[in-house]
Amino acid sequence: MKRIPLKNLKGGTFGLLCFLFSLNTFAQSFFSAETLPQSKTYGTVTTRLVPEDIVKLIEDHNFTFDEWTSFYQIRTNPNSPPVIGEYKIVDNHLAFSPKFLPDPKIQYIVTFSYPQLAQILSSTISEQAVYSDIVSFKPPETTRPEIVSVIPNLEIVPANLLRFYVYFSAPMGIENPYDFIKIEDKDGKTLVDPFVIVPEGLWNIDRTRLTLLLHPGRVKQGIGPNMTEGDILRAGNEYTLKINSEWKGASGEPLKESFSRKINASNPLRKAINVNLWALKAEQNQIGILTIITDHPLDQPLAKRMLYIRNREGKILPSQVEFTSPEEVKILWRPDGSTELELHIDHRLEDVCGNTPLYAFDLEGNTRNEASGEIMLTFKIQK
Amino acid sequence: MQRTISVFTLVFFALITLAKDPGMKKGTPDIVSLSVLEFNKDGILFIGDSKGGAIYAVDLDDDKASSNDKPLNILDLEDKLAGMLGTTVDNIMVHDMAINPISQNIYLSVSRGRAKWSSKWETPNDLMDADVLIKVSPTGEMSEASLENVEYSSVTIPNPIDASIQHRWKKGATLRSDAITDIAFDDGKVYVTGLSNEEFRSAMWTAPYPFSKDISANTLEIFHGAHGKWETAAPVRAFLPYELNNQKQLLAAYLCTPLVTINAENLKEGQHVKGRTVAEFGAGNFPIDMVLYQNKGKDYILMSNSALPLLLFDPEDVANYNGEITEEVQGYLAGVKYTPRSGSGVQQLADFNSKYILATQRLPNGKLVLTSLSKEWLYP
Repeated sequence: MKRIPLKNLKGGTFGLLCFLFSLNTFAQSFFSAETLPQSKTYGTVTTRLVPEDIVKLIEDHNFTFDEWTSFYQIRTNPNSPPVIGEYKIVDNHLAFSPKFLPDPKIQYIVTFSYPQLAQILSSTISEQAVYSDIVSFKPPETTRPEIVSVIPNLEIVPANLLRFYVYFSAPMGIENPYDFIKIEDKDGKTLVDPFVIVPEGLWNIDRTRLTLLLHPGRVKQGIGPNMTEGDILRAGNEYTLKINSEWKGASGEPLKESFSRKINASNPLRKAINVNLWALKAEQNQIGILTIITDHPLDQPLAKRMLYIRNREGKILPSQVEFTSPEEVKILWRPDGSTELELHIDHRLEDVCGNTPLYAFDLEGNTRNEASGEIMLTFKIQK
Repeated sequence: MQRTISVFTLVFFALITLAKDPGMKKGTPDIVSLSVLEFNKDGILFIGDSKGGAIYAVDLDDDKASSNDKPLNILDLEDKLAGMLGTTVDNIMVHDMAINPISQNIYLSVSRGRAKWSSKWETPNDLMDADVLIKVSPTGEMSEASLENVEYSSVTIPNPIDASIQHRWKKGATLRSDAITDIAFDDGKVYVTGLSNEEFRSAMWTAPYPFSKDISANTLEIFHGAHGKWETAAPVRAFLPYELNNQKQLLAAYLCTPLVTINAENLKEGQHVKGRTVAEFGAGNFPIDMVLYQNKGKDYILMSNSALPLLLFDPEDVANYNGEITEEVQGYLAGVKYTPRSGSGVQQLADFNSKYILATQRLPNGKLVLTSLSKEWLYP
């Protein structure tokens, strides 16, 4: 604990600030700041080293806000009025809770003056020190968004990959997403314009999922952008997808940490999905589980809406689609007593390269399998 | 003898209570948004709560008379407010200002929401609910005016516009923020403007004060010369009661900026009332505030604007104007003339003392100042 003689605080506010900064490291133990985002009081600055008998004196006086601030103040700068909030005594310590959520970007100047306290108590206090410090509130961890996942979660991707999906733990802000995301080649050189730039980005409604569309004009062979600018990813090369942690969430807090994933590009996948190559295995106890090993890594968010289970009477059963990997899907359903069921595949299903069960992305409109009725696989249930 | 004193004491305290507002009770009013502030001559603060759809009358126990006639200037108002709210200056927003005519204390409704501003047409209430009341003394000391455990009464606004109705072109704003746009107190009545759920949305409510359940509702219609049509959807933005030719009128200003007189006698429960458009002050603007003051014993009205200069007009010119604007005007100006006065960036206005009007003003350096405008220099 460092005592700062009162006389040292003379010399104007500039002097005070310089003085506070110079003594910052010595006086830290007198005050502590804590952020409590889930609490109604948001956070507190606590002064723990005031002797118990003096705390009792303060408690007995039941001070108003103005009286408190005459000896114990929290300010954002020396010329501002004190931060408004509530002073109280908690566990024999003097605690201040600001009225509004403390701003982690701001350094708060905290001052506690025994002489001023003596004046307002109209009594003598042997302590004569003035304590000052600069405290800041750590941003609450829960308000900092995190990248939950980036899919497809594959170390090896086809060179004609069409999309990434980035999932966040909290809604993201309105900054331009493309300022924070890049793909580098193995030499650390940033790829030029790999993504389709959509103003503000392609978001789900609560801004927790961003779709990064790799430029389809460059992915698709033989058309303008592909001819002039070339492929985005080339088979046999290594790349790194990087997301900068300076990107801010809707709360104003930046990402908890940066994201980086190495990606190896393999040969392009330029074939339609062939569901006849899928391996199906179904088990059933309290719930039914259909495990599907697919022939292509699937576009997961899309597949969750494009796969469903029907019984032989044509009734769609309530189900849930989950991915173990882009090539392994589990569909959970509520059993209805059937021993044989149908897996229905909407023809709009896509793999990670935009290939569908009807045509390859590169051959769209050219060589196209005409849909002959529904795309459907039947399976028996093992008990 | 003792009994006589007790009866006298009871009557004395009863009279004091009656003089204020017998309907008041002690407690913490459940105010959602401090949208609009206005004082009556007895120092009762009226708070319009758009989100809550109610008007509150609050006795802040602030009745120590002040005869100060000095100006007040605070050059870094938002910096100081930011300090009090524990944030940075770019996040501070002043929603409204009112001055207690007894104590001359200035009250500001404030929020931490300016960072959300994205359009010149947005008002502070579109962006955020003001949630703290700040008191500034006539000499500039600032403190929080607590609304906890105060004497207050309230009245519910009948049929305020539904909270789910989106503004037609203000992205993300609902019309509910305009449920109450201005309040004026006159002769025992509280006049309230805003938007209702009626087919003709622009509304005027009139409540007796002290409050009773007899609040009357009127829908308003005006001819807007700059748009060349009759309008019922836009609310009054700023208004004040004034007697013209021995008739109580409400002088009301709207977006893009028609000035209208509304005959107070026509404000009978449920009536659809047409205002008389007496001036067009210019397009591309919304009026922010109006204040009545005297210069050399003569009344003038000063009006602050979002995009036009500070406007000064003579209510006598309004009284003497016999016409009515009912056709589209060319050049956006028509009817009663105004005098433009220097004061770009002036926002809130309130009568401060015998010599000064107090204003908030955005300076070219970006600072918001609390500044005193000398009445002596404000004449046409």
